[in-house]
Amino acid sequence: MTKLTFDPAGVARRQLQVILALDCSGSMRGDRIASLNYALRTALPELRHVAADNPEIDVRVRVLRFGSTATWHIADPVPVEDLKWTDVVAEGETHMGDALRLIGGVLTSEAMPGRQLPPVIVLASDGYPTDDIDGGLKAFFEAEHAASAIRLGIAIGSDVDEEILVRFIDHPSMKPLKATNAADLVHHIKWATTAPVKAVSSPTNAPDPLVPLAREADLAPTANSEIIW
Amino acid sequence: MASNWTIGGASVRGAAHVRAGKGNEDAVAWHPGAGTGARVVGAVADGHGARAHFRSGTGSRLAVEQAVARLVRHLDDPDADEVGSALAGDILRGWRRAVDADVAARPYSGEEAGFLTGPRLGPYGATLLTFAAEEDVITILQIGDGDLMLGYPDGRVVRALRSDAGLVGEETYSLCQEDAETRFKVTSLWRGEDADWPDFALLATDGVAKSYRDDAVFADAVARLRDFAREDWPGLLSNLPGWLEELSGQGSGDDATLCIALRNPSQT
Repeated sequence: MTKLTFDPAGVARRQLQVILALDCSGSMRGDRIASLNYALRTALPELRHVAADNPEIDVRVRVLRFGSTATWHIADPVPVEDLKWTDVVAEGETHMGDALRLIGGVLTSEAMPGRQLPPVIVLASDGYPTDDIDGGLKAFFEAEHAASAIRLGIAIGSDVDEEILVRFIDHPSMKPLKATNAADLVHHIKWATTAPVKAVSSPTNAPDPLVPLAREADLAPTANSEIIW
Repeated sequence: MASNWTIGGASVRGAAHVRAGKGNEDAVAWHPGAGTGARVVGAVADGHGARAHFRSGTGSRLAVEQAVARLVRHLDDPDADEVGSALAGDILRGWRRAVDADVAARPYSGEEAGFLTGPRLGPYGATLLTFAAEEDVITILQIGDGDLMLGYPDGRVVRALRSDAGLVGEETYSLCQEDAETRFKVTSLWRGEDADWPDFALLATDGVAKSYRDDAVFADAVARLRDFAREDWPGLLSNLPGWLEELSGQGSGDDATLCIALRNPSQT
């Protein structure tokens, strides 16, 4: 009897790109940027662990920082197991519109070839955009894979343009995560990088797969801290 | 009665479900059970699997059972003139009644009741893909994702139905939706004197195609399955479960299910 085989070259793990867009404006200096760097250092091992639990998924990470300019901190999608964190530094204004344009530029079939799971995009900011945010949002949502992306927003501190984060998230059940102290920020960064990866990589199809994730986000505990940003 | 078609299939638990200790949420059924007949019916279904759809494995099983039973009844009735949309409604009503009966027999536990958030039949949510063939008519129905590919004597493999529009990411339409009847896609093929007539049909849950690098590679794989089926049908059926497990393990990790129908090459 002939054995039924398949060409391994034609079979591939699905890729999941996690894109972190980090506000590195001057207002993030001090405790906030230190907490953000700490949060990412501690979140990455957890993300690696989640990826290891889902070996059918090729989890990759890009990181973008925005201050007076928006630049890729990690430009190419790096396999999460190879990712080493180098701290981001705070300076300047809040060019979030430029950041969204840059992200839109990689939400294409060329930058995300083959079978892709919906990308996860985490936008963390502590302030108000100082550039053309409307143009940036428009360019972002015109990108090929913007609509399918899981978009999460983290509002750092109490002086954040939440309306912009809501427009970026653009989902009726999903709200910005609020971090008013260092512990909150660490918790939210960990959750925002790992929970969507778990949710997206679990083999499921449903009328609206994001609703359970939004419920989970609503139930996320907030930390008690005497230091409030 | 001529035995024009041969039909069979397999369904395996995906590697991710094995690791998570979850069951196979896909289902497959076909008629006749012996696998050959002048009229054949096949169905595959994919339970959604998320926590809100905690009985979707049962939902997919009920879906293929109801679909096959109703399509067989339709084929067996020489006076049947139901159009596809009426068939979809009939299958949906049968599935809903079967789900209600299952809920009545196994009421939700307190923990399960805590997961009830969406539509009334949400816990049983599943997709469904069906194929019914007789001598001169093929009827295809689909709600949600999955792939139905038709093969032709000249070697072509084509997708039978267009993809759903307006969905993003992993979203899919489902039997559990209140407006499910409007979400069915239906097509019928009538054999004409000069028309090409399929000699092969493959129904697959999404765990199969998503294991391939892209749609073109998947279509090539379907063409090779057609060749294999024509050369060694018993070999295909005996190989299929192991092949699906290996494919899913190296690919999507999802449950993987195929139903394949082959027209006897001697029948023109």
